[in-house]
Order: sequence, then structure tokens, then C-alpha cells
Amino acid sequence: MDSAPDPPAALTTLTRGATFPPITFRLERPEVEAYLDAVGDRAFRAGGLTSVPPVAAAAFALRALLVTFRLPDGSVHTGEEVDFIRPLRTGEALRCESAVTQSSDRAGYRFSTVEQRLLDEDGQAVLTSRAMLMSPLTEASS
Amino acid sequence: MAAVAEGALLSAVERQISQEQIGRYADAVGDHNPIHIDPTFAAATPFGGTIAHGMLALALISESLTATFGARWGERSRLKIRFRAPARPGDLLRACGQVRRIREDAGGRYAECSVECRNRSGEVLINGEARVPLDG
Repeated sequence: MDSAPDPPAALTTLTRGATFPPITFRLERPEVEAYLDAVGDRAFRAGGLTSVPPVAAAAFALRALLVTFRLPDGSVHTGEEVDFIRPLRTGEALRCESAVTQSSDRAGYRFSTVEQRLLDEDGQAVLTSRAMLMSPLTEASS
Repeated sequence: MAAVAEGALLSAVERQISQEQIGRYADAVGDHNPIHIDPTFAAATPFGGTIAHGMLALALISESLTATFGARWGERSRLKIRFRAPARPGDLLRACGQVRRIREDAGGRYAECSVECRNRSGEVLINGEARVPLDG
């Protein structure tokens, strides 16, 4: 995966319209296996499926996002909308484009919507998503 | 995949979430936010303790859809959910859903499903909708 800016900006410093440098990466089989072990998914393996599990694709897109910005400690995910255009193959090159499309402050929290597109080597979208995130505006120390 | 009809229930998935599993998930997806893995930090937040990543609980819904629709889930599919309450270490989660409608458009036939994940006390942690193609 592409390297991170040092240090990455916190999501709460970004406002609506902010875009992130595209990140390119490949999802290799060991990463997918580690994901399946972590979530305990039995159906995917039982079905003999060798692609990337759909929600794993969205989770790895969020991981790519964390290369370009930092989620403040205590942030939580409040919603997710994903269009899965086709299954991802392990090992294929992916390009992740991300932007903050909504941002508002309420009761000490920043409510952000981050839209992402995963593109394949031909530039075709394979997944689009909208992640709704809630982050404390004042970070507690961890 | 068996024939899917309106009203059919999705295959339910039940699993207990542990702090160890939350830690493994954090490593797998690179999200080490202390709200998930640091009990001292999490105790001082409004949640009062560590909580599972929302996407970890959502994985059970995805597993339910895979168990019901096989490889069709994930191709020309859509998921729209809200995280209503957190899953906590020790929670027994149950993901399930129901086919609400069979629709047809230029892309073929789709199952429109309600999906949800609850904890042992019946509290809804996640709910929303999924759309899965039935053809091709």
C-alpha cells in the first residue's frame, strides 16, 4: 500500500469537499484469510468462494483511508452504504479515491460522511461506498 | 442457491464476540482506535467500555447474506445500514433478515431484503437493507 503522509491529518480537521490523494494497493490472500479468521465467517469458506468477502472489501477500503487521515481516538462508525459492483479478486491492483462529502458539528462531535470509490486496473469502479463517522472534537488521551 | 421467495427468512448467523476477536479484527483491518482495544481509554468514554468495530458486527450480516445467496451476494449488490448501538465483548450476536420484495428491472431480478443484527437481549445493533441479484 502507498505510504502515509507524516503525520496524517485528523478527520476532524477536514471539511466538506476535502479530497485525499488516491491510494493504490493489492489485497493479498493472507490478508483476506486474516480477515476471515477475525470475523469467524464460516459461510464464505464453506461456499468455496475465493474472492474477497463483500464487507471485507468495504473494510479494506476504509483501511486505505486510514493511510491518508487519522480517525481521532473515540471515533465510531454510525452508518455504511455500499454498492458492490463486482467481487474483488485477491491480488488485483486497486486504486482508492476518497472525499469528505458531508461535515457538521453537534454536541461536541464531528459528523462526517466519507465517500470512496475502488477502481480496478482498467479504471472501472468495483465498489463505491459512503461511511458515516462520528468523531469527538476534543480527543481524550489514550 | 435455493429458490428465493418474498417473505423468506435469510439464514441466521449467531456468534459471541470476544475482546480477543476484536483485537484480531483491529489487526486485520488496521484500525487500532482505543475505543475498541484499550479498556482504560474506553471506560472514560460515553460507552463505558470497549466496543466492537461496527464493521465486525456487520460481517455477520454479510455472512448471513452469503449463506443465503452464495456468490450472488457481492455482485451488483447493495447494502445500506445504520449502526444503532454498539456490540460489546461477550455479546452474543444474531444476524438475520427477510426477503421483503422480489423486483425486476433492466438488470434482472433482485431480492430486496431487510437485515439486522441484535444482541442477546434483543437490542437492535444494526439494521438496514440489502439488494441481491437473483439472475446471472
